[in-house]
Amino acid sequence: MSSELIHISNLEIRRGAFSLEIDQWSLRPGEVVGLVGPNGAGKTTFLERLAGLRGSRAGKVSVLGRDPRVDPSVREELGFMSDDMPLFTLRIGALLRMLSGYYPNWDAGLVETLVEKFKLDPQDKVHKLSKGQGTRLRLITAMAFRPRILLLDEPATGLDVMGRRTLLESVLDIVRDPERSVIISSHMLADVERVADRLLVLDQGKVIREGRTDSLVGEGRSLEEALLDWGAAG
Amino acid sequence: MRDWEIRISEASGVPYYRQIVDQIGQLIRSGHLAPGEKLPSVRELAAELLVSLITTRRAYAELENAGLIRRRQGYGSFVAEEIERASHEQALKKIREDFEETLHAARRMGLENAEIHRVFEELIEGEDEDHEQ
Repeated sequence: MSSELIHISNLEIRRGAFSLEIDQWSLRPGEVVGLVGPNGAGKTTFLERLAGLRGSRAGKVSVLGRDPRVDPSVREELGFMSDDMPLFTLRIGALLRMLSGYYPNWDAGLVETLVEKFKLDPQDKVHKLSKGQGTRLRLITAMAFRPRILLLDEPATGLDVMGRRTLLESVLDIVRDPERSVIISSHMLADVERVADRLLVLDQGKVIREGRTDSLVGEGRSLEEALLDWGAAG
Repeated sequence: MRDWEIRISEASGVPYYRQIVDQIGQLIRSGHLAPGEKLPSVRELAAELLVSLITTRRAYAELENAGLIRRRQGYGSFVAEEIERASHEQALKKIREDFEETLHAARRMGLENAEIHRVFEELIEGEDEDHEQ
């Protein structure tokens, strides 16, 4: 039990008429989990709950032994990237310098490498960035302090082929460390299939499949085809 | 510096682990990877090829089963010495001969192919169950 980074039991989240229910689920160290399912499946809701950004109606959420909603200190070890996360309106370089002051584990070398790989200019003003540039900057800020757990909500939105490649490289670079894990929710199914060791497939707030990517998808079909077979494409 | 590389194709339709097995197998058979040479770790190779750890782990397991590499706990994976590979090939040859002999015996006793198949499958399945326990 203690080796699990996240453990969920009997979770129920209500949001208006929508409800998300997950009976038992855990995240183990050193793995990449793909969170997939159609729009409205509950992927973002789940990630926000894990990050402590929303509460739940019932059940238990344990992230590194603590519930981030109850004990926000655990967020120091959690990286959360979502596309609608606001960024301060500074120049990129100034924003990164400012954020570095908040995190003892901020890895300036990693940030420099990623800024270069993602082709961002530290002199650019954050509020003038394109969608893709904003995505890349949010990714950098989520990864910069080398969190134990990285939660990525649609991190590939607006990224070109090279940007997606850098994203996958960064994800797999994180799990070079067998103590760290990543949950990635994305509509880029080929990318998810490529890097995810396990899948959690949601549809309309329910878990419809869970397990090893290779056993769930099987040989001779793609994840996209598998989702169609499960009636969870969209 | 390594003088070999593996290329993963998304379009080929061949599972990624199979592509890795085939290409490393080819590198070993052609001598590009020498006996005793250390292979990248599962996590290194995954990061390099941009494929999951499960995929890379599965590829290494298959290569080990085929007798092409050996894994030493805590040290990593190495290209098997030729003698180990030879012994694997010899094992295959020996088992083939044994099966041939058994098959002849079965024929002499007048057993049908389907019956022979069934007995063999039962034995294998029984063994799998033992392993799972």
